[in-house]
Amino acid sequence: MIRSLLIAGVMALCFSAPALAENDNIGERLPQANIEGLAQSPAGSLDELAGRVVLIEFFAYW
Amino acid sequence: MHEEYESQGLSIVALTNEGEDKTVPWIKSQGAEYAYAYDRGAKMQRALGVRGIPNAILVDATGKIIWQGFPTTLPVDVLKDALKGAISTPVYEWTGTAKGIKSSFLKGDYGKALKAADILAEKEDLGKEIGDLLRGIISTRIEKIESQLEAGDVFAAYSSAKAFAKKVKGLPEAAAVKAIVKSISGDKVLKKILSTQEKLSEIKATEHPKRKDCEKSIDKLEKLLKSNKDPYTEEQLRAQIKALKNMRRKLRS
Repeated sequence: MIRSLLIAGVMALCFSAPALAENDNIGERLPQANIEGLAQSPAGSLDELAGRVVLIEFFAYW
Repeated sequence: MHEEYESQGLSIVALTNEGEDKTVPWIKSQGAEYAYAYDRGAKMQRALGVRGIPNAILVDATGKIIWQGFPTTLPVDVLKDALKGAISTPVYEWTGTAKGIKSSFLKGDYGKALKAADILAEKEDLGKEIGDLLRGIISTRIEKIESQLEAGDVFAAYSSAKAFAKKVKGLPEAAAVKAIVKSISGDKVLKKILSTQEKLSEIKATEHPKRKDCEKSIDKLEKLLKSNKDPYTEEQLRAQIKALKNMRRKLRS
């Protein structure tokens, strides 16, 4: 219980601040950045995913 | 849930700014089967203003960002709506008769790709589908350039239009893109704004390791501000001056 509250608290901290900045991206194109080494995908690169709806998730592990 | 939508045109890609040395063993230890790639130096993450992780963005079939947020909060209706625009045969399956179109498309030669798609469309449904997709991508790009110009970002509109004109060479759409370039370069007021914004963008791209670098740039920006009459550019110039003044305060001489 305490742990989940803590997680919720941390998440609220992380996500309350950039809310405005994130909305600014709606309607924009994906920024130019070299995304490399696409693995475990039938596509050879992100460009080959054009025409599909793409959910890009930023993740980290620790 | 993901599998159901993947068959309808959704691809999920996880991005990390860690290197292969940490990522590959982690993916293996988790038994993760999803697609992943490397966002070197967190460039994409920074360009999108992502500060909290996990965070996700949804990109539609034409390359436009339509949603951003905490991954599990993606509204199903937003996703379902976007999937209506997804192509049934993805680019990586453009083989055989569509192989040449794939190669032109990936090289950024939309003009050549679209012409070939229209020829293929006479024989195969895939040609029509590819043609529709390319037209969608092209119109999204042109709309974006027009909205940049409308918002007052003359430099962004001008440089995108110039670069995009090459991609759509030979197509009727090229005329619209060239018209944007001409409407800027042929207009005295817009040309002046373009020049100021171009100088501003050079300063933005410059590194300012020392106080005197900041001072030099602030000086240049204040000069630009004096001769500028455009409100949008003024706002941009003032914001940059403010940022450099903050930076100057933090730097040692």
